[in-house]
Amino acid sequence: MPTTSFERRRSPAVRLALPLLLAWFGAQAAFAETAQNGVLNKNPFPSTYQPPPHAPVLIEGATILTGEGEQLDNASLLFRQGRIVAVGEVRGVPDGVRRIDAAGRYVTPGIIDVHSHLGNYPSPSYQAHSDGNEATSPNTAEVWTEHSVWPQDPQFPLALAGGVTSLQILPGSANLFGGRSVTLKNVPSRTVQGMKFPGAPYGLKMACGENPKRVYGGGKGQSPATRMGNVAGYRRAWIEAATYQEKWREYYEQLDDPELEEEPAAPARDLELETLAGVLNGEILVHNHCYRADEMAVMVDVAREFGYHITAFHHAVEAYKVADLLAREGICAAMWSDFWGFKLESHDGLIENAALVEAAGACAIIHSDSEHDIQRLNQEAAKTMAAGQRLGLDLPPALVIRWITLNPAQALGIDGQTGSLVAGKMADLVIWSGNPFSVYSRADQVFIDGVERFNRQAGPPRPTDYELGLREKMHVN
Amino acid sequence: MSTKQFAASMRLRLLLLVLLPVAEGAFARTLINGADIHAGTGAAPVQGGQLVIEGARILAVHPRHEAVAAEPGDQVVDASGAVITPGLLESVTVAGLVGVSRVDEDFRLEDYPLGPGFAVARSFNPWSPHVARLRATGVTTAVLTPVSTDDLFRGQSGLVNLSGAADSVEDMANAVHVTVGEAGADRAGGSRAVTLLRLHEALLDAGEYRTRRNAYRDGRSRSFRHGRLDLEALVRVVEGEVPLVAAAERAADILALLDMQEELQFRLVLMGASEAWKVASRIADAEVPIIVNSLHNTPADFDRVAARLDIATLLHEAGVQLVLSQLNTELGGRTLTQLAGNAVAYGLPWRQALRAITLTPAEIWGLDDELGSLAPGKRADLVLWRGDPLEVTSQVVGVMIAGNWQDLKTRQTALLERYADGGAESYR
Repeated sequence: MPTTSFERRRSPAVRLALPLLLAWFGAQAAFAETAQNGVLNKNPFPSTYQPPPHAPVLIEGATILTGEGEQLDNASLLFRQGRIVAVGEVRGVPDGVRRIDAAGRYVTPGIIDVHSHLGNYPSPSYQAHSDGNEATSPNTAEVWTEHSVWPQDPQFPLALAGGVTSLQILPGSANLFGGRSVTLKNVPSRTVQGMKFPGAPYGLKMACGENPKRVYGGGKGQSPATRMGNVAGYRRAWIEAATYQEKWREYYEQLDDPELEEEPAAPARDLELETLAGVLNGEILVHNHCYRADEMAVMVDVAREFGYHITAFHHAVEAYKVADLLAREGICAAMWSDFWGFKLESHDGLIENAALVEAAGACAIIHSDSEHDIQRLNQEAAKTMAAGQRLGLDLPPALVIRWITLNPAQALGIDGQTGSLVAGKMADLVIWSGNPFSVYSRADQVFIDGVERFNRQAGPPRPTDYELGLREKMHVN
Repeated sequence: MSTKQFAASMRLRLLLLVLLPVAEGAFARTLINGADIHAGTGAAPVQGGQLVIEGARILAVHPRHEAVAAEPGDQVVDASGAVITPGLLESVTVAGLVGVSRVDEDFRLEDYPLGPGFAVARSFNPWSPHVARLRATGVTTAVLTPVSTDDLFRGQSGLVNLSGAADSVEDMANAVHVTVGEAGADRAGGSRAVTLLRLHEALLDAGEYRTRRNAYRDGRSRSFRHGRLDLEALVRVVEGEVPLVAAAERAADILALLDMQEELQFRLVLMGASEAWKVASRIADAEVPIIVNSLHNTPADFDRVAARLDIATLLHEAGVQLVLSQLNTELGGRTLTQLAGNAVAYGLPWRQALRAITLTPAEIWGLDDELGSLAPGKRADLVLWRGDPLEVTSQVVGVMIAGNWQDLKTRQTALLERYADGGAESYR
């Protein structure tokens, strides 16, 4: 029985309309924060990384592996204001330059690990910290792994001491669609935004093979339970994503229409489909965990069916079996050197894998997927280099260094900025105690945007907050 | 000689070796000439020396100028430019115990009431491709490790040679393994205190059982926590016949084990031991050997807060008996020599690193009369290398076990042959 005058004077329809109107206005206001002129903000968690200033640096007398296929002996390298100025011969050395005598030592671009779980599977490894797999549904394209990255993971400075200057953190491989990856600079930061590589495109993690079907079919009695279930899962998702993409395309077309009379209503926003549509729009790069040759061939056809490109297959233990296909399609393979046999889909591993991929003219990358191997990617590459040389392949250090520098940079869409020692690029580089492809060589000095972030002589890498009062002295010079 | 030419010449030599009959006794002696011989004892190498093998045993190691001439019936191997080391000993492996990880594992017991009695070597498959794979990296002897049971004790390890022969298990049960600390607490109600209490109790029980076997058999003794198979295994520890290998990481747990060892006087070996460096002098005084993987340097849990990359150097400098092992309880990758090479990069002297994967493990496993170094009378287990054995770019060119050259072909060799040209050809 209505009692107040407000309730007496409104009909049921009107009583309902007011809260609805308020809700609608509220939603519009919220939408306005994420959109400008109706266009969605695609970068709501922008990088706040600002490299500090540094004095110019001149390295002299080094053997330089540029990452572009060249080896320069007894060469110099000058960098200032975060950028490489000259490589090889340096004329016009600025005042106040810091000179580094690198006689007997090597200089390479900073190492880039294209497959890492530092931060989202940090040390110490407990459930409270295990944030790499949102294993609650086979399709979690809506999650962004940067929201799981803990910048105080002590594994970051360990990787820095191994020469790693940039790295891609990926969701795990429990899901068909694991979520967005993030590319980071390996710098100390209180926030993940403070580590994000400025301007780097997003990636999407996908996984084929045993893991999704074990987690869902085996573990939860859900689809996918088989490889065919995996593929149906991808295709179903891409079909929905294509519809979503079309709705938004129409909406933007209407916005652009000069004869527009009325504001069109934006389509409902769906985070999962937004990421998938980003792939279809060519904005988000696909990183597809996939071991077997036959599955890689199937994924290539799935990509073709829906009009997207696979940027890289990860692990790709059987890449050597379809190296011709990878070369033809322009797909990188991010591989280990001698790690195989731990799963049926990794039964046919070969230490020569990356070498054979290189020989077929495809993009070869050595990755770690390990908090241990990330500290020694140079050694991992060396093992495959030697195995390939024994086959008679021409694999000099100047070429092989690409597998851990420019090729991963390419796969991350940052090769215009970093990954090789070329005038104009970011001064991300490592001075090694000797030939980096030796077990005895260590990263002596590591620079990121020209700032020295690690100097073995001066002391251990900067410990993270977690390590203070606990293990600062465990980092070894 | 260029790298390519040398490689070709070594391949030729290897081919000759492979073609030669592998039956034991086919030759009177084998003379390996011209290589740099690292005996594995920590002594300086014999440059360009000669190794003489007779039957299954090493007859002599000669400096270059004392090399003996070949006689009719001898096999002569020109190993100029190569390096020889003793065969490597990997102290923890599951090769031969598993078809594929998580699918067919014989080293893990679940929901089954057996602990120390679980002698994994009974499930060893010498024909497993993973045995050939490990052998091709220069490992000639390995200790098969029990990985887990529902008990605190993981079982008993076994010793195998990697010849792949039907009778290659050399010791069916050579140590009892237990896990203390955080990893063991799962099987002990959640507290590491219980892991230590139960370990202590188990050893005392075994001591009591040992004196009352007849009563036990006749049902006239009290009941024990463990059954007969387990008690018999523990008696071997109590009697000092085999060591107790305790997987422990945290310094405090290591000290607790040292105290227990002092009290009960069993042979103790520590494994994992990431924080051992903090109590290194105590460990050295107790003469307890340590098996570590120095590359495990992340603070992966609260037992390994003080993990560090130079642990091998610190332990060696404190006089601890140091063994390096990959500690692989899963099939995987990397090599024992890469581990040893990294230990050298972080301060361990090269010859100590080699000793840590040859003679020192032979000593702790009680095999040093037979194995671990290239000395007259010892079994002829050795590896021929092109390059520095601890360097990641080096290559194994020959493996000998008990005087017989081993087949270095693996499944991977066959896959490589099929796909070396890109693969497409073999499917036309």
